[in-house]
Amino acid sequence: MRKAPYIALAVVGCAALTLVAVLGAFASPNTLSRVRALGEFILYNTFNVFSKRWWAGSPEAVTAVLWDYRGLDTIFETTVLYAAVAGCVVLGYTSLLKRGGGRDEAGRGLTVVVKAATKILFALILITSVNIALHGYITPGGGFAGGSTFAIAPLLVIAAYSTEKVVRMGFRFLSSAVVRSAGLLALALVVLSPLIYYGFVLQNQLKPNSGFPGYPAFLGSLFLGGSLLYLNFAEFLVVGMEYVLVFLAFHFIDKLMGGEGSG
Amino acid sequence: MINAVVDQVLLYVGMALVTVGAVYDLIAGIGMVRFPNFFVRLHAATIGAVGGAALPLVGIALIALASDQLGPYRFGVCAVCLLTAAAILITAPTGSHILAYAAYKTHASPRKPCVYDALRKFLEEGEGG
Amino acid sequence: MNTAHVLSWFVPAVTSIFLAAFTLYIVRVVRGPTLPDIVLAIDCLSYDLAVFVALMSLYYGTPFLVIGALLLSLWAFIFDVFVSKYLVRRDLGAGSGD
Repeated sequence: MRKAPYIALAVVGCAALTLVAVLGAFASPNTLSRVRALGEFILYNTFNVFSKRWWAGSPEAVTAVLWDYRGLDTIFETTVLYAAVAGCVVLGYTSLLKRGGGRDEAGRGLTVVVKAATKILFALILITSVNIALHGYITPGGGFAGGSTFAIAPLLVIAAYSTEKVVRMGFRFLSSAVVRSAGLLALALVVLSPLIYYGFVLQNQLKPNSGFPGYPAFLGSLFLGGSLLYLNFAEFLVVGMEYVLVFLAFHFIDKLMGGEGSG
Repeated sequence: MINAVVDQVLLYVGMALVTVGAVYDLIAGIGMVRFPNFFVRLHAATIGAVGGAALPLVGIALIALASDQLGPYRFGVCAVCLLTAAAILITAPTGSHILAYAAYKTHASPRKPCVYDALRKFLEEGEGG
Repeated sequence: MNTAHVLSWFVPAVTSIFLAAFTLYIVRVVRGPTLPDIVLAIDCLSYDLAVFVALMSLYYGTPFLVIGALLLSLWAFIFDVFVSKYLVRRDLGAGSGD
């Protein structure tokens, strides 16, 4: 009888796959060819050094689509996430104020072995996440992936030690919120600064009818990826700190509820 | 000339390591299915992680150094493979340890076919004395 | 020297052995009577998947796949730690004692 959930899951999964296949079969060939033309345009122009009219200055086409060709979508996604986390932050901060600091007795955490391994892996995760974020315009990855990877590090510390340890390490509630807002501000700055030169919003490289010469794409023979590098780093800060804020807020809310519940 | 020989040696040593690792992994899989309870299966998991994952990754790092397909990226692939092998050598024993700790402490897994339980004896003596 | 030629038969051959091990681990994941058994088998699966990704990166000659291997090995560890924490404390990071 305990196999019933697995069977139900398998049936639902098969049904979903079949649905996707059927929907794909009914797609109009006209739409498909138009989509293909768009893909060909992007692949042809993303890193076309010989015809720079529509190029993005980044060898990674996915990041170019995310931050250049369809940049507004990503900006809106970031804004939606920011607004969603804002509610969480308000709740968490209210709980923190009601508790008066929230520095209670720390939990004992797990064994010494896990704590030692966590110390080593914390540095490894930090380096990997920054790498993913900063190389987002050359390799698969980018700000969102890097930020999500970064969030694993405090999560690991929460599990191996306690949430108080994360706070003591410097991920304080208010400073995390400030860094997150600073990241969003930097993002807006990079997006809007071409307007000063009579360019376009979200402009990356030199475009027709624009006074903005574009962000630097090369430093000697080194790729710089135009605005994508800065946008990725800003997004990394925003997403990483948002995850930390959500963990901390859940902790404080949980503590407040537990404190009220048990007396 | 000497480069070609070094590449050949790296390739064959790497292939040997990967093959040995695959055999280790198969043995670990058989152990994982056939061993009677969780605490015995920890042995199989250790073989699967250290012999079946870290060793082949070292082999892949050597093959990547000799690979002509990867071009200038082969040093990067080699470094990431070695780093992953090192990470597995840190994480696999720690993960097994903490799982065993939790399973033993909370009685989450039955200790049914038990030959000798030194830890229980130790704990009982500690409580007694 | 042509490593691509050697790898074109070597990687599928080794991958088939790894896939046999995968199947055995999956048997344990499905049958595993308790939570630690399932987690242990999924750990082994993740480590093997890291090897699999690295092998694919060699086979197709694309260096970017290999980043996933590192993350997979870290992910398995985090999975272990969280399940253990769940088992020991029954609540994550609340630090509210035993």
